[in-house]
Amino acid sequence: MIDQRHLELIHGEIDGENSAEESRELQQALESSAECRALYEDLRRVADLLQDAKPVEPPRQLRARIVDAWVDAQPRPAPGRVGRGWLSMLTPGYAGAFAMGLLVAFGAVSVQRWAGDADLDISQLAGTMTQHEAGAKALSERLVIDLEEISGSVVIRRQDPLLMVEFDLNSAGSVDVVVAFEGSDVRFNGLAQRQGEALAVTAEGSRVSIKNQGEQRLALFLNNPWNGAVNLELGFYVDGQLIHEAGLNHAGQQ
Amino acid sequence: MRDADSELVTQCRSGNRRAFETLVQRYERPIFNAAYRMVDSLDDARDVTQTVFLKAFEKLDSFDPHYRFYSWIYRIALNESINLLNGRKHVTSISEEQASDWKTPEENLRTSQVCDRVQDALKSISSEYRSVIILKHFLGCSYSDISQILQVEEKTVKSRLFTARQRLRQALLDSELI
Repeated sequence: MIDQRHLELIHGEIDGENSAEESRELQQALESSAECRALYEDLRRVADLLQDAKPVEPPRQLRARIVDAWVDAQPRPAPGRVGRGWLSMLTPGYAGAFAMGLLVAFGAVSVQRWAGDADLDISQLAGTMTQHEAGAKALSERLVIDLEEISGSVVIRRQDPLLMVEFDLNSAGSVDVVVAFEGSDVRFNGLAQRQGEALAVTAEGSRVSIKNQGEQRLALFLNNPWNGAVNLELGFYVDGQLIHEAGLNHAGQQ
Repeated sequence: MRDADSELVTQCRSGNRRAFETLVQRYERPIFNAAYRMVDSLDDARDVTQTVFLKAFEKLDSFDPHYRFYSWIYRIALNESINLLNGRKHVTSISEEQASDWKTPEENLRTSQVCDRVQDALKSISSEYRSVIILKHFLGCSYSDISQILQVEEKTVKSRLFTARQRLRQALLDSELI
């Protein structure tokens, strides 16, 4: 029969909670008692088996599901506090840059990305701001990109009266992200950058190309006048070579 | 790494999505694994994990920053898992013995693997004992952490852990793994 003291020492050793002195005391007990030794070896084996049990990987989309659900649950800005038309309804962090994106989109097909949007006084453009990121409702599954060259996610959100394709990307080197969109009368309406270095954007017809480098959070805005289905095809290129392609779609008004 | 949690929690309270994502990224895997070990179903573990994060952040105001964030979220994870197990008891219409005969060929193949036999052994002990094993061996918590998570004294943690390990040892002996 193993006494309580030796039991505690055995479990404490396995749990890594014994002091050096306690470990020495246990060592002596193990040398003098076959019963202690047998129990210690069995329990050590139990701990090893638990240690060896492979961790299970969460489903790939789980993180995106959790984040989307959290975003949907966030309080939205009070409607009475903002009042300068639909621009004021934009996710605050994107609002200033979006205004520039509009100018860019109307002005040219091929553009260089604006720089220094951090200097913009967003409050002048969009009225009262809150600290919350607005809970713009997700209209699509979140597309998760997990490549060596680029990682992150893309999701379509409602940003009335527009659709917002939100990119949250991170790449060590330069990666060209080409977005081709399809839908009845759907038009490119602008691009806003929330985080990241200045970037180059080219828009042509139903195709927008964004050069990504580093950590970028940006939103591409689309006019979807009939609130119909919108299909996006995304291609990711490094040095002109396609490394990944994926699709994303919004089913339109149900 | 865990020391930075409190800053992220503060940012989450201000609605900072990036902070929330960072916390989810940090704890998604341990919570999913703990839930899976508790409820023994990948689908249920997924639902429990999602519920844990949403409940945790819904109740952030009740979180005392003097405590460790992981203790708090692990506690929610265990409670959610136990709630799910308790709910299962009410909806189960076939006995445990019958259920074990209903394994799919895929499940039978799974069971042949050592990891799954360990999981079977874990399933055979009560949720109270399974919790301490999961906290100690899968989440790497100390006696002090477990005491805070389960809100019991350290001596109770030790006693529960010792009994849990003895029962698990017996189950593994029965399955000839040791």
